[in-house]
Amino acid sequence: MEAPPKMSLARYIARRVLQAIPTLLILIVFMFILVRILPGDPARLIAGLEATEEDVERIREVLGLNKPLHEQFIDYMSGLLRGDLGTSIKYDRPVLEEILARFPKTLELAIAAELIAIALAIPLGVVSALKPYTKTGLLATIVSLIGSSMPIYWLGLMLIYIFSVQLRLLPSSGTGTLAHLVLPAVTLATLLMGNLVRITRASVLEALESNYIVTARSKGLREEVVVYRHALRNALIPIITITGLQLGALLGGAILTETVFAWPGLGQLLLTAINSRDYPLIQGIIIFYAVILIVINLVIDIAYAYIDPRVRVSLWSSG
Amino acid sequence: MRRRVGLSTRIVAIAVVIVLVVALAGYFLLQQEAPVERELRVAIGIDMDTVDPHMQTTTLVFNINRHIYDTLVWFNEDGEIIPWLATEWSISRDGLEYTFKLRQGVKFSDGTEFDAYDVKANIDRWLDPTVKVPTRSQLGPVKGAEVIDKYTIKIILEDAYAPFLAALANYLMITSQEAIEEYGNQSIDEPVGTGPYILKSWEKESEIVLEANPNWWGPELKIKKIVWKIIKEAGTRESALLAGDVDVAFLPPAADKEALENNPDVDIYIPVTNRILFVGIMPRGPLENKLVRQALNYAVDKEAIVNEVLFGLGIPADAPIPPHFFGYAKMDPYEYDPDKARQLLEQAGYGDGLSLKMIHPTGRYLQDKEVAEAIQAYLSRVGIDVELETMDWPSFVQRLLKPLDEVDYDLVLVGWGPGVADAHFTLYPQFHSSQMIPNGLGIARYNNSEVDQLLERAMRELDEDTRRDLYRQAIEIIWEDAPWIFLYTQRNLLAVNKNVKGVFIHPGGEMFFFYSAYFE
Repeated sequence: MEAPPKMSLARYIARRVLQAIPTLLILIVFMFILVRILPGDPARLIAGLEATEEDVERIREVLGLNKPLHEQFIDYMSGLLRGDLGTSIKYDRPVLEEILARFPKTLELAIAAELIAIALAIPLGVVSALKPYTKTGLLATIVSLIGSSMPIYWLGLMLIYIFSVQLRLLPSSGTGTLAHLVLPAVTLATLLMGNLVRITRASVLEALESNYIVTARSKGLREEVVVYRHALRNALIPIITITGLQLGALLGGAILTETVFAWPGLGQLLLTAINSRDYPLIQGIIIFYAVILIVINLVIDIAYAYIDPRVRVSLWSSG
Repeated sequence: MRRRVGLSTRIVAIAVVIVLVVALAGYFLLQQEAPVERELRVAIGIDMDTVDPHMQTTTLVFNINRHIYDTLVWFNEDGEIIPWLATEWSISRDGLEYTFKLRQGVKFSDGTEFDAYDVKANIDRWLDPTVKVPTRSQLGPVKGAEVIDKYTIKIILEDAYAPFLAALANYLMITSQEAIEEYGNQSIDEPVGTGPYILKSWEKESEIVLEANPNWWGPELKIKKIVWKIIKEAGTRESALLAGDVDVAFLPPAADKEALENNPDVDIYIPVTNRILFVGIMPRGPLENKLVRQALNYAVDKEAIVNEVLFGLGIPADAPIPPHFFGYAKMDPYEYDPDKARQLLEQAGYGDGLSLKMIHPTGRYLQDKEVAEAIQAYLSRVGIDVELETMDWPSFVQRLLKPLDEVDYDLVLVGWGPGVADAHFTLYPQFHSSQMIPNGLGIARYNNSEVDQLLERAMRELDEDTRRDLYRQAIEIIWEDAPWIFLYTQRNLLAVNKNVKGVFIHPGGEMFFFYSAYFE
């Protein structure tokens, strides 16, 4: 199969980016209204219950929250067009700076968790598909059950109790060294593995039953070639989709894991923003998150194309 | 057949190798990080939102900042006012002018010298309406400041204000005139103070590092470095302490208080806070009747709630203010007596029972949801059916602050915790009729002209004994009227590695200071 011409890839990406603009616009308007419908007054929350109404009103004025809603919206949109996500009410600093300060930590945790999950779940899923009624098959079922049913909060606290408090092998919380990454990444990976094992097993099983495998086998190809080159390659598509979506979800911040392990990522920032009704910060994080999801979906689609020639043809020719 | 076994074995082997490599890498990296110098590591539940001395709102954030900035006066362990940046002071007879002599030879962290012009600049900024000062009114009716000479400043009030010195200690942190000129009404983000520590670094949602200020005017600092680690989950703060990752844990889970108490490696502190918890009663319908409100008070067993639900982290209320407040007067408690409650209800004409609705926040106060459920259970025993509505804090505050004609509940579980341990700061906002929601924050819409007069006089009265007596009279009337179900004063919980000594506990019970601390 020939590699696609470079221009068409660029055009394809450009088209996808343009398609994303109306989606983003709708999201921004929706978010802007939604956060303001939430009960709670950021000025009162800043000042505290014990503050006088006069002091709270002053804060409202300083923050511009006393202006009519449409004026606030126009201010916000004109800022956005200049690439300005606004100023956090709580931190009194640019929203984008606050997000970018946390994003590397979120990225670190997400990638580590996803790598561990892939390294364990895919082999486990493949093996259990190849040998469904063995101990490995049973192990795969158990892992996927644990992963999808264990409350992550509880798992995190248990791991801290065993590895930090009792064995004193790993730090209980915070960041800094690779050792700090182990417990949160393993916790998050357990959650991811549940899905990943099941999807891998199912898609490998499906591939093994398809006609081209029967053909390959009947041609007398070696089993390794059949499994690796034919079955696995075809089974990879749903696995990549799930992995990509998981990664996308994780990049928005894993709120529970981050909270248990005091991991200073986007999830904790979003939680703080919601609890203080920090409108610009909530909006900023959601927009950032939406952009990431759009980019990841694009990357997934391009990845399909490199794995599956059929997708490649349909993607590029339909442009 | 042999080949198939080989394939799955290989896949499993690769997975095992990956896991082993990750585990080993983690283990060896861990081995390398042994602390070189003894720093104090403190686990706290929330991040700072600002290092601006005048934009503070959160007790814990003020707590950290107060290590960087000094105040003019401060407290000793008994809650008495002591000199700090001001060495002595005098108050004019009408209570309107406070003249302070300032400490000489004090340097700010930017190298400039501290003097009366700095204090004036701080007061001016505090009063500047374009600056976001959330606690502006709490400091008192300040009119302005006048420099008398380089080391003497006069602060002028519009009205006499008895708790002014305590308010100065609790609210006004001093930065340099230069910093104020540089930032104007913008938020100060690089703190310049005279305090015992200097902000070294602040990694958002992660840690705040303070280093000893070599030029501090106070006693020698034994702890040269404090690392405040932000750990939101209470269980993790406790684990971090037990694992030796931190030396101090703010507010570990209340349920583990006893286990921590019995742990030989841990000391716990349970100071009384300024926060009183109560159920505000909306004075409408049956609840307009004093007998019904008293019945509610007899129906709830506060002792049992404190012991069983709060794990002892409270003091049952015998006044509408905490016992360590100036102006506290002990009343005869409403002892738990369901029979008496039923009898009072019958007398009021509600012997057949009542249906009420109570709102309460969750995750805001110690065991708040559990306390609300306990109250519901106690009231049901005297024939009062209570419907509970649980809300997160922001939604709760919004519901709480609605005017009475938009209020759709009868009872509200809430706490009131002013910065200053003085009766004025709880009684005036809660029981002066001018302060009813929505004009102020008076939750129970209490309206009694006699109490109004007593509270007004007490606010301006400078003679301590007379002032105490005025508060006693007001408290007696309020206690009898029972506009609240008086519950308890909340205690705090701090768990500390037992070789850390000398922690100074602010009289408000919610702030802890380490400038006097040391390792044993």
